[in-house]
Amino acid sequence: MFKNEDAYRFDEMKIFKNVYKYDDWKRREHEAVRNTVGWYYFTHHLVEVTGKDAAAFLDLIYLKPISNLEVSRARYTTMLNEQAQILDDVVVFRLEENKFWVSTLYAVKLTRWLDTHKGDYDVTYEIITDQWDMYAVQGPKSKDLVNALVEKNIDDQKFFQILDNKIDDIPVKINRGGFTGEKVGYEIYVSPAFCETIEAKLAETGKDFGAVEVQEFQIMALSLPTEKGFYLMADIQWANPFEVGLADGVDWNKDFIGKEALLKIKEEGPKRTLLGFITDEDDVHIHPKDRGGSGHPVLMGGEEVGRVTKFTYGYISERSIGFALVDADKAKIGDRIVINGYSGTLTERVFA
Amino acid sequence: MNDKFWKELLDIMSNTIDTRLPNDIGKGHLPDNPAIKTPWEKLISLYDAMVFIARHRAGVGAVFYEVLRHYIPDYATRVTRCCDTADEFYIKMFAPEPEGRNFCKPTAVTMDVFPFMRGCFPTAMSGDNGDESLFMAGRVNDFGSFRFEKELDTCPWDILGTEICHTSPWAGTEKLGDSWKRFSRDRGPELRVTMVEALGCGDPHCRMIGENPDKFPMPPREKWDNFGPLAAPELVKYTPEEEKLDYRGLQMFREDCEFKYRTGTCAEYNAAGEGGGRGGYDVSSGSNLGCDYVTFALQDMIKKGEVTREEVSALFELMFRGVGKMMFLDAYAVKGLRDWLGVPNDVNDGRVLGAYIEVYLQARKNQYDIVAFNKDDVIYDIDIKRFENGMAFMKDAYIPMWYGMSKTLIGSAWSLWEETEDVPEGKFRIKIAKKVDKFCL
Repeated sequence: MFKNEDAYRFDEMKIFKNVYKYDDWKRREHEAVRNTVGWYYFTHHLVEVTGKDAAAFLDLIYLKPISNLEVSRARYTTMLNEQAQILDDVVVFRLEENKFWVSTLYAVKLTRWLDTHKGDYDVTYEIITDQWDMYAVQGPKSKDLVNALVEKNIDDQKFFQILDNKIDDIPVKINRGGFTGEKVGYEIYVSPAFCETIEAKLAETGKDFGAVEVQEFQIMALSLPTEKGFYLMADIQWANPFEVGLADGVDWNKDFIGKEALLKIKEEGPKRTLLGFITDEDDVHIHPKDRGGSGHPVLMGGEEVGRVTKFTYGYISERSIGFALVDADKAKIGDRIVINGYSGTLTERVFA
Repeated sequence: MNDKFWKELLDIMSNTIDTRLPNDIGKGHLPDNPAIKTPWEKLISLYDAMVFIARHRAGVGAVFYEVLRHYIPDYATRVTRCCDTADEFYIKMFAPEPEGRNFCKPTAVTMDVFPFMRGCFPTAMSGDNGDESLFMAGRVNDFGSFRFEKELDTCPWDILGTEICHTSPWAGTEKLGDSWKRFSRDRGPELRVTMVEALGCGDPHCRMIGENPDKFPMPPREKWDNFGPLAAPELVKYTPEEEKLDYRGLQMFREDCEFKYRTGTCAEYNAAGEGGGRGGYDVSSGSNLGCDYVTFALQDMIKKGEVTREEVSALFELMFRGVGKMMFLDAYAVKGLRDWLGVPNDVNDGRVLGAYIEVYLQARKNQYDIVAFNKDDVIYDIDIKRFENGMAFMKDAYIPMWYGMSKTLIGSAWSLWEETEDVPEGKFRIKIAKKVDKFCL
């Protein structure tokens, strides 16, 4: 039985040991993706959109154009409300002329939003998450590993291209892409009925390539993408695309929800900007938005200039790294900041 | 004048509702209006109503624990019984069908639990949803597949004793975590949950930490003993006492959070329930926490013949009658309540207690009908389903407590009792009036 004399005096300890830096388990998973190959269960929500007006409808819903996507190709884009605030960021796949997949983490919210804007569009949509599992295979040797598994060679497959293939006669779809910032990375879409087979194949075949199964949520969702400047919704939700660097590739000739407000923001310039930051020490206690709430304030000269949206560790740079949404006219790259009493510096969003 | 005349007169009197209303008070209050209203138009804010109901239910829960302590005097045996019976409850609620109701599925939607979040650790987030709504202000310090850490600065249930602090990490978090793992097709790391600090023990926080036994190996421990130690205490992120939050520190009451509770995965809702999830008010006003672990255990004892329902009811009646009398024994308590309710100076009859009961019912979003509200009689028909909220012994506790209160809040000539004739279906009726009873208790 635990006794009172065994109790810790946390108020006296004040260690705040970094939960990434000294963790060999996490380091091994992270470094496998950077140096060899890492694979992991990475199923998102999928919404299938079909119908004669599907492309036009998605053009209205999303910031970037969808109707000019070629069949088999994909595009990353954001969904805005009428105030040009970001509601979601997604990847849209064009599987057929009038059939699209939207990969999101908020399928229920998305379909509710589609309901409110469907109007007279000849379009139907359905959440098909239960029909498709997804495995990420990421890292320099990911192509070799996937090629060792699939029936048709993927050497010529382009970035953001999704093609049918087979693994041991199991129908799969292979998308070249990912959320790690690796130049080479793939996603395997497969029926959940075959997920155990696919996992066993990845584990067994992966041995020849030094593959590691990534199990840690903090590696797949935080350390890997943040190191390369990738966003979570916690970074960008309710911001506008100009504030967070996602306004490139907008087709101003098409209509989309939030266009009027976004044009105004374009003229006036964004009031905030999403920057990276590093801390001087690694053993710190900083609370970001991605663990709930509003995130710790970012201070300059005692004045709040923004909030921490994300805080993790970069195993390449060996630094504690994060993102902060800050006032554009008060803070810039290179400025010294204080967060919860810890000093740091504002940086670019890409750390490695 | 004959008997018929008197009966008709009494019927008229008993159905009189004095001019203190709108007659539909209690209807359409929250979330339409961010306040509840006493019979004399005094508004009690949504925030104050939440604090009141959370703390009130904790007080009731504290007495429930005394009943359990009477029947199971040994601490370890008692907590083990609570853990065992709470297991059954959580399996019924959260385990996949057909074993349970698979409540993880709707929770995954309202809390934005992503499909790839395999394993037990979403329990830290879904638990946090309950914590925020249950007036437990705090933060998630670590949220990973192999370790999580929740640090809470307030707990309305810090007066219950420590059985709940042992039971919650086991049942409310670790077993809930098991359901999350089963929800993700039995994949992902397991977690053992430890309550290393608890406000109910006098610690500065409640600190609940989940550690994966493979990555953070520790010796086995008894099921009921969930206070520690940790495998990795050096990873704890401690918020100093001077930076601790109070109830106002809940995200749904903070301007910097735009008055919304928000998870790290971007699920959002406010106190009134707008947004993706259930409103904070719905959760806090509907909570049985404090009573539920006790009633599960007592019902199990009744089921197994260790004690009879009648014996347990009698003990509840004994305990709560005394509690009710004690509540307003002192003049300052009476004055405080009258001020809070806005009772006019010349009113000192059943309406004072009636007003208190109405505020309780409104704060709990418990529908009720006013049958009479005058200087002689106060009669309510109360929706029984919401009143019990799936919990046994609620009437066994509340009717004697309100009876006891009538004796000190108004006077010994007054009484409160349940009437059973001509009561609409789905309701129970209470009456407050003067009553001479040569054998009253």
